[in-house]
Amino acid sequence: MKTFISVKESSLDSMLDERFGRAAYFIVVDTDSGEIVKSINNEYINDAHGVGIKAASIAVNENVDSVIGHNFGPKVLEVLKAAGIKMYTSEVKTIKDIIDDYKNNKLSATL
Amino acid sequence: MNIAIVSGKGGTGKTTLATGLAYTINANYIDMDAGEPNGRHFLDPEISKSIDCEVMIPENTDKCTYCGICANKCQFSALAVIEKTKKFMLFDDLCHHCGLCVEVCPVKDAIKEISKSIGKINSGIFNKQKNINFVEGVLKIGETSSVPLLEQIKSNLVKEQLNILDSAPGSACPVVSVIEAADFVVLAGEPTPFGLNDLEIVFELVKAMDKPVGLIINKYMGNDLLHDFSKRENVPILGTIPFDRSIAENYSKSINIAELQSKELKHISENLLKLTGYHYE
Ligand code: SF4
Ligand code: SF4
Repeated sequence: MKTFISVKESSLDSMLDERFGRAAYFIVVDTDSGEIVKSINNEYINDAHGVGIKAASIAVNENVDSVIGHNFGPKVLEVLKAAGIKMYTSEVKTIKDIIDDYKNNKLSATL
Repeated sequence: MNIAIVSGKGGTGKTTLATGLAYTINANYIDMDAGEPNGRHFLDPEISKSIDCEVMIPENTDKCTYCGICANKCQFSALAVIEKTKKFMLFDDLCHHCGLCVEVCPVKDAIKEISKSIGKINSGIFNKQKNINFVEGVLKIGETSSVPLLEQIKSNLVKEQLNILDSAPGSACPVVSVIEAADFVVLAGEPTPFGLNDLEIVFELVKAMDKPVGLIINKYMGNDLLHDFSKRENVPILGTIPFDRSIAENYSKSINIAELQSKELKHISENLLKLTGYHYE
């Protein structure tokens, strides 16, 4: 399964970025191997509006199964829901810990 | 001749002064604070016409292939297109009606523009003998940008007449739109640190747009904050209105300030007309 995470740095030791649309990077992680399969620089980070929609659209285009963030705005929810992508929220922790939480079903799913 | 009243901070007395001046010098009153227009309470207009202000927003058709090119090109992130689930989502509060999405769509007839009303423009008169015009923009609840409405109001202003443009507070796009139309800008200042701070921000805007400007000091309580600003920035003071509880009490009863402070309002009007060089009967 592929999951999409908003991060401060492009590494598994990085912390989760709590601001989904304004994260510095997005990473796509293969949850089976626990490896980063793609890292995306957030070019919309400084846009005045609509950063959540752009970030959600990037996740859609990456064909991921789920997205992990600290919390999601209403527009992000709308886009991801329309795309049938699962959403999980996590406390701000390292990506490694979050992937472990994911595997152990410890993340909370957003409906 | 268009005279805009701006303040930066809200609650400094823009509408009080704008309606007071319009009342005193028989100028057309144009309420361009479309998010919360309230000038009508002080001028008691008779509205004779109400028109819709419409903007164009995109909508896809059954020809759409959900390729997402339109969403990629939109500079305002107002569109999201999902190929897998065939969704075309417009976030119309972000749409600036630029039409780019329609231009860039590679598929014939896959996207079209439809009109949407964002509010109303009401017009009428507030002084029957003199036939003085009253115009107000009223943005629909939930709409975020009043600029298209203001642009439509501006395109119908009669340049040969004296128009008082009552602006929204702040210094964002709606205020820029009002200042753009102005031949002269009046700063309605409140002599508090907060009032000065926001006044300076909007003054920067007025300077950048190269408009002649004057200052009314409202709610004057004896401090020098705005007098210092006037000296520092070389902005003439058109007049001063004292802080007086009765003005606020009468405001809450919708009584026009010109009925209470007629001497002060006349004095301000004379200074204003002198500076703008406008002659009226
Ligand atoms: S560019 Fe045209 S065809 Fe492609 S998603 Fe947009 S409207 Fe549909
Ligand atoms: S009209 Fe302009 S702002 Fe609106 S969705 Fe199309 S491209 Fe974006």
